[in-house]
Amino acid sequence: MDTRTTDEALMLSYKDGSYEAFETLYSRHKAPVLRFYRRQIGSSAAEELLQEAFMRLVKARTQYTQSASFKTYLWTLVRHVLVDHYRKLNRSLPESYAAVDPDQIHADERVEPDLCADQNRQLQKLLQRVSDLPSAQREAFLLKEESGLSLPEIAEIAGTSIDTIKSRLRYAVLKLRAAMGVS
Amino acid sequence: MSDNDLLDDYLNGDSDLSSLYAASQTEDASPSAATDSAILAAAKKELGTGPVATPRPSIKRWAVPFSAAATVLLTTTLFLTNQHEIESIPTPEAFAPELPALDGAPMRQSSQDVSIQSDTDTLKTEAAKADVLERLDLKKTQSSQPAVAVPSSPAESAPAKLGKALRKAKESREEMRYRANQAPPQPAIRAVEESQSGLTSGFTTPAEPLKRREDEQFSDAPATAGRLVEHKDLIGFRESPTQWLQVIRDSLAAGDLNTAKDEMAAFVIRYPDFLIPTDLKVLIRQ
Repeated sequence: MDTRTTDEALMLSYKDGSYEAFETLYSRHKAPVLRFYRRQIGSSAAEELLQEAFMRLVKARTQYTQSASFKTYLWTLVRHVLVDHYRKLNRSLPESYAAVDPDQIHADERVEPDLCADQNRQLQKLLQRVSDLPSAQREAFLLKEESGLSLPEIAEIAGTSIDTIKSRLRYAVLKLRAAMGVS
Repeated sequence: MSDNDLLDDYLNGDSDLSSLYAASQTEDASPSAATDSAILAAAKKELGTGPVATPRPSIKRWAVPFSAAATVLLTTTLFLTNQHEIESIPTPEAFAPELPALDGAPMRQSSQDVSIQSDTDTLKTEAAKADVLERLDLKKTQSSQPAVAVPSSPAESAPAKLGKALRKAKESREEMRYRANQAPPQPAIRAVEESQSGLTSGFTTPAEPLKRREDEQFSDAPATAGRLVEHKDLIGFRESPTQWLQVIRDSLAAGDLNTAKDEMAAFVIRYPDFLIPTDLKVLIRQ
């Protein structure tokens, strides 16, 4: 498949029966999705969630319509899998999603930083600080960094308002900058 | 730099934070080969069983449009049929005479009116029964007469007795009819009579007209009859339009103009299609 073919065209091709289209789509998006899961819940369950997310995409093939961008479609699906995972563990979303106290972080929200492949000390420090963020702020930061979506698109995926996402991102960025000593 | 400026820089991609994080994206973030193969195998398997590639048979392709068209056709037919049937049913208003709007007059028949009407019907039925019974008695009397009549009283002959019996029967019959006819007429007519004769200034309480109706019903000389020229030989004259008109004409001749006008107003309501004679048209109020 041509690398310039859009995600939407690839998904429509897969819908029409092109296996190669799905291979291209998978290779394009598996790494960001896996990183998102690793940094959001840790490495242990990340691959399991990745598999679940792409399985849902495969099953939703016949219902896919080009009403929104494929990225929004995929990341909404990715987040639904994550929320289902939270609910399976805790029967509810982490406390930080309630946005009562943006600095509050509960013990069950902490994850092991994904440091295995990173040798750079600064980067390790950043990933450590990312893992220290409350889940909701971490999710907003990771969605912004990994998916490259705009604020309205992230708000749509997260099922909340743009102001809420903006607020979560502001707290996340300020904390990370303070921790990294960036002026 | 304010917090908002820092956030704006970050959102624009000018932040050091984004640059640093981008370095982490060069890492090898591939899932295990097992995960890859499981996902790709599922995608391939889905294509083999998916319904998209198989073209739909033409009968299935046209099933939905045909169903929709049939539903629309059926609905339209039912609607038109119902509409036609509804239009063919005569409305109750077609049978009811048009009544003039009266200030304060009750236009609906109350339960008391229904009860009074029921009593009137009963009296009429009783009158008819009495009529039949009297005829039977008369026949018996005639048949039981001996061939050679023996007068019970020397002063009365057989024809005289027969005439007396006939008069008695007629009087009895007329009395029954009089009672029946003295029952209040239709509420609307009564309302016209009452409002136009100046007896009431409008119904302020429901008890007042009811009491007056009862008084009229059971008094020997009802108000309406009392205002008319004596027409005892024309009891029940309202049943016949010509007799009624004659009574009105007589009232007019006797100089009782108000009564004549009241009766004419009631007549017009009772017989709205009857052609009013020219000499009485002056009594019709505009």
